[in-house]
Amino acid sequence: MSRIGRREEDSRLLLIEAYRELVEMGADPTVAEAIYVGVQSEVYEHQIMYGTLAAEALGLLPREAYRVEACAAAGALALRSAYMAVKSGEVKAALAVGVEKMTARGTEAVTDALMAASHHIDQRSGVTIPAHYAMVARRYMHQYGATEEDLCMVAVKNHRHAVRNPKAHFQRAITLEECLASRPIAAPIKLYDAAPISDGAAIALVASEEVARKAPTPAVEVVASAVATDTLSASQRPDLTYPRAVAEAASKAYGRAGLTPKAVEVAEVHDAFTINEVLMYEALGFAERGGGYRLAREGATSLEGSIPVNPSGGLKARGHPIGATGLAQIYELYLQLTGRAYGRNTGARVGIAVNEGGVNSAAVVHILRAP
Amino acid sequence: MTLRYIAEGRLVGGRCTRCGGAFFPYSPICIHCGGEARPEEVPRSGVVLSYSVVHVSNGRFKTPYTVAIAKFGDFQLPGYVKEGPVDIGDEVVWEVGELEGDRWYYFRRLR
Repeated sequence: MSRIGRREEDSRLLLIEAYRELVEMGADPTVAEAIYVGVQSEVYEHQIMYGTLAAEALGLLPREAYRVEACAAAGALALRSAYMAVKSGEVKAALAVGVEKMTARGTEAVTDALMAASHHIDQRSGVTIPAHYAMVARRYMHQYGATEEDLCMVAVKNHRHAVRNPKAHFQRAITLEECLASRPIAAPIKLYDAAPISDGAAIALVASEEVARKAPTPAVEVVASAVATDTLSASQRPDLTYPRAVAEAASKAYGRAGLTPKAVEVAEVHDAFTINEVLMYEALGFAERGGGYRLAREGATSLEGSIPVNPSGGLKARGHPIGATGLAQIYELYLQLTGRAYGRNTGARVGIAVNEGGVNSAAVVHILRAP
Repeated sequence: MTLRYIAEGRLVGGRCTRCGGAFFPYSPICIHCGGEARPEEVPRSGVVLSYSVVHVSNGRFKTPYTVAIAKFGDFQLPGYVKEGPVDIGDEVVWEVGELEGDRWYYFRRLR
């Protein structure tokens, strides 16, 4: 994975940075017969054809390569595509790639590009993506008694985790007071409730058991991969606060893995906004509906807690280069499950990742196991 | 389809002939179950389920402004709130008129 942040480099150089690390780790990415690239938008670099761009940038022409997209779920969908290609026997190995160069454009252009993930009625009514999550947050607070302070606790935790992540966008702690006093983006969502606009790239090599066994570097096992969908507009859901697609994908993943939520020892979840980390606790079965906000408050999801969530710093502090995020999560789980996460090792043997796009409108869940 | 209805000053949702579910805007296939859906007029007044005051926009909307999700009969709609703010539980009506240079619908709070 590249370093995440405001980067001078374009997508091509970010991809090369991530690729070089993969090679330094001892993997041989040239065994890949196909390349799936998750990218959110063509707006930032006025570029489509990111499959070909990646194959060319990495010296992997003329391999099969194309883009997959579901807004911020694009990265995990690239992994899903690589997983299915290998699982089917069509290829022995494939690269799952994610990249985004968001800072090539300003905040208004980014806001507009992200709004394309919602229904056109939302777009024409001025319902930005942060406003969507803000309405989910407001409703959640109304139904369950959570406060803005409870939501800021998630940001404080994730910033504290990112202090130990040298590749994070923000390697600094924040206080609860700073979060509460930060300027509103879409009230009640404030600047410190929201993931930043970041650049970055991440790459995973997915291989058959046979190929992985011969590799000089340890591999983790993908024990489950699942995807589900929900309405583009959150307005069309019977309960605004319930991320049905995430719950559905998680349920399918647990079923395929033959595991229960109790078996999970570390999680990387999609905290694009603090409210969403709370919703993920509930959808993944770490807490009951309406009880998720208490987990962060009690410290259960911090590095030292019973179920560490977002040891990387999450989208909030590691950063959120949209198309790369799903694979940044997988990168963190790889480090955690192989004991390479240095100052933030959890010793976990089973990890789960939730990546979603839109307003939990496309959900991708992967469960990984240590070698 | 939605634009044509709005040009006529109407908001039209979908009602499923199979599951009875309601959704907005109208589309011939039910978004809940895949059954056949029929167009149905959205009632004029509704109740706010949630809202947000937006401070960072895409440049098309002057900030700050309020948006809400409100329930009109069985139909839940997102919308811009003229002369916000509103609160959860407030009664609103929808109207069709000019919104940031477009003919579109918006909500207004009942006083």
